[in-house]
Amino acid sequence: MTNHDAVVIGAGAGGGIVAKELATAGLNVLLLERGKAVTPADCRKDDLANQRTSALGAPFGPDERRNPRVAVDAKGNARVITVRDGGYNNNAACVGGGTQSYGAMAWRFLPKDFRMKETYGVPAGSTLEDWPIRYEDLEPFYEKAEYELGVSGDMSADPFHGPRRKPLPMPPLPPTREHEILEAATKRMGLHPFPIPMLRNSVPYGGRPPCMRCRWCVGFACEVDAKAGTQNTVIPIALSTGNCRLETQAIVSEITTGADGRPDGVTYFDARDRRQQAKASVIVVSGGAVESARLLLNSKSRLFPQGLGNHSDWVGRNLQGHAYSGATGVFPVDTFDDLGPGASVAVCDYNHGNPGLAGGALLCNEFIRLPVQAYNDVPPGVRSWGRQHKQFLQQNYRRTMGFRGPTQEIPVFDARVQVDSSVKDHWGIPVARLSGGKHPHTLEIAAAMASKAEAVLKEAGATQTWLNKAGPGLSGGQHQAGTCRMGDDPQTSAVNRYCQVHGAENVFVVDGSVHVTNGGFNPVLTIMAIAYWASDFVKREWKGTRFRGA
Amino acid sequence: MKRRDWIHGALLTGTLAAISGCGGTRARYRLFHEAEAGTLHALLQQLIPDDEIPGAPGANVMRFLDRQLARAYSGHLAAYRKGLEALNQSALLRHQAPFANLAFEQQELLVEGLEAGSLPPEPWGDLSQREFFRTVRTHTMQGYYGDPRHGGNVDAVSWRALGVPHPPVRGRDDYQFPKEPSKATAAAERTGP
Ligand SMILES: Cc1cc2nc3c(=O)[nH]c(=O)nc-3n(C[C@H](O)[C@H](O)[C@H](O)COP(=O)(O)OP(=O)(O)OC[C@H]3O[C@@H](n4cnc5c(N)ncnc54)[C@H](O)[C@@H]3O)c2cc1C
Ligand code: SF4
Repeated sequence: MTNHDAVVIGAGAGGGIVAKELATAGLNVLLLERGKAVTPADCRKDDLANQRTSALGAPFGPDERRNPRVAVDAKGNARVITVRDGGYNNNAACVGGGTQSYGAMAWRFLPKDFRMKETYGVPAGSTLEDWPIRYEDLEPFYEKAEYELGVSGDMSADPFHGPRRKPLPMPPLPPTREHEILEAATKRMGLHPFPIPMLRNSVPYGGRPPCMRCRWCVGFACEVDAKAGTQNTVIPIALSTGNCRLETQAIVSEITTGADGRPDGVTYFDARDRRQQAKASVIVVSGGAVESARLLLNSKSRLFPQGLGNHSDWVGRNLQGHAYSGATGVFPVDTFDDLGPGASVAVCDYNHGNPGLAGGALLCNEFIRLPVQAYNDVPPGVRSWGRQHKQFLQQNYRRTMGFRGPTQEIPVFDARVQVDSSVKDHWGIPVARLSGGKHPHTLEIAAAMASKAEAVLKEAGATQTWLNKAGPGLSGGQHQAGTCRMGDDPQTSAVNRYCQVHGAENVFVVDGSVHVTNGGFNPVLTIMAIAYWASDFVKREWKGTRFRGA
Repeated sequence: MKRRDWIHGALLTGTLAAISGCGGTRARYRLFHEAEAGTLHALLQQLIPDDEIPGAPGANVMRFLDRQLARAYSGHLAAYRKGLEALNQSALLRHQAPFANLAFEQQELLVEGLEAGSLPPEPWGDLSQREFFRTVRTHTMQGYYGDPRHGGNVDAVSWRALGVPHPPVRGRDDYQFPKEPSKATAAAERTGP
């Protein structure tokens, strides 16, 4: 058994930042990560085995033989599935978590994204709510994330973003061909195109080189370390303080409680499957929205018989990702220039203010679509196999562009994570059981976003376009969020505004779980900003009570 | 059309090996016996035909499947065996000949039925035709459009046919690319902010 000031569970986006903040503040931190440490040298740029297309495996975890989940379909049928199944809603399990292999779009949510109920009212059948904090509260912490990890871009042409004190620290990468075509088209339509902000070096930054613009970015690790993840930024800083110990292949099974009923540490299984105990004054749960909920639900005690923080049955609820929707178009000229990462230009004109719709999405072009990611996206009328299909791809692969975006979801209570008492993982820990679907209004917004995207492609000169609309099934996946909602009222949330579990003041949930709503944007920069915000609170409190009880 | 007849003729006379370059490797399959391999080969020719450019058979998707059904796709092996047998039975029921021996158009109609789930149910038992079609189609596309290192897409033939440079010319050898501002950036600089 070991003793620590703080134990942080999960070395992903949220956990990596908390570990660094607490270690540099002088706390003794144990950072436990169930996955392995991956280096850029491990990156094999395999089209069929990466975190986006995991047909032959998910190299950035989790290990598929050891980590099943249960997915329940709309008819109520439950299936045991592995990470390679889409229903698994995988993100990642390795040092860096999702940030090791992500696309690295670095969005701030808009001020209205924190005030969805105030802006739109509550659609029937949804748990839509305002955040207890505002954009202004997070602004300094967004900035901190942008500067400590390194974001490139230029927000000056986007009139919609919230107030910001500083510009981004690096200029954007030079535009791709798609960017040039779409920028011109959206301007003609009176929209406001600008370069997507990216956690990716466009110039040397933080001791790491700039992007070499390769073909395999999203879903892969970066060979030259130009992508900023927590694994090559804050985690090394945490370790260099000498105050933080990172243990990999260490899966936490339970948060333990002392004789007084207070949470006092964790039980975990180490790389050799030995059961270990660690005691800590502060416990930070940063396992990602599915696994954090699972861990809390698996941590039952006298004071929390339904699982830690789950006295009001809000843990695991409101699982949401994004209802990705948009359109694809074929152009008379080549639009493919093989210039990574691909995604480059965006508009935020449709995030809000769409008549009759409670929200919207940013719309942007895509990361380079590898051939194996393109074969399913053919227009209606082209058969999905045979000579026609083969020829369509041969004639149009280089002339096809997508424009799409992450439609903000209207949260629903029954989209949820539970633990399955009958199915256990390799270590005997009950696994996550996922069920529920999207709110009907989410699908309406998504359909509208698809039409907006199609109009852009038409204006850009597409000779043929077709829609890609989100389906009704549960979403979570790489943008998973919402399962431990942040709120002032313990009856309708799991944690308070500082990510502190209601009723367990020394336990924090710091990851996508706490999102009340998930913005019409990729979520990671908001997760990072919240991690800085929550760490700031923990550090201040630490100076006072040290979380050692009243 | 002419080309198709020619391939179909080749199939009938058993000279496919000569044009696809892979019929001769059948003996090397670890998982498929002769009849299964013949049916699967013909099914692949339907899904992504060899024509001017090698399709799934020519790009050795057979080898890809033979490898992956022992590894990542192993959970599907039983369905493959059952489905290939059922497809053959469906061919025998309709045409009194094995699937591999049918004319291309006859095979195509059967595959359309398979995709729609509308073949006579008898040989299929509890195996869903549509599910089987979806699985084999997905795996075939992955083998053909995926990375050559896994045994299919020989010589990156599909990538080159799509116009995707292989090996890539950007992002590795030419790390400093692009040195010059692109058209849009240059234009923006000229006109000022
Ligand atoms: C291919 C891909 C592309 C993406 N692109 C973008 C993008 O462009 N922009 C964007 O904003 N977002 C993107 N994302 C999403 C982004 O990576 C996630 O939103 C983010 O990483 C979530 O942060 P988190 O802290 O909630 O969890 P994670 O980063 O998932 O970290 C959680 C960590 O906790 C570990 N863990 C879980 N349970 C336990 C346990 N019991 N014991 C020990 N360790 C545990 C996990 O192994 C994991 O490493 C992408 C993700 C992927 C995979
Ligand atoms: S596109 Fe750039 S950031 Fe992405 S993996 Fe390649 S070099 Fe790294």
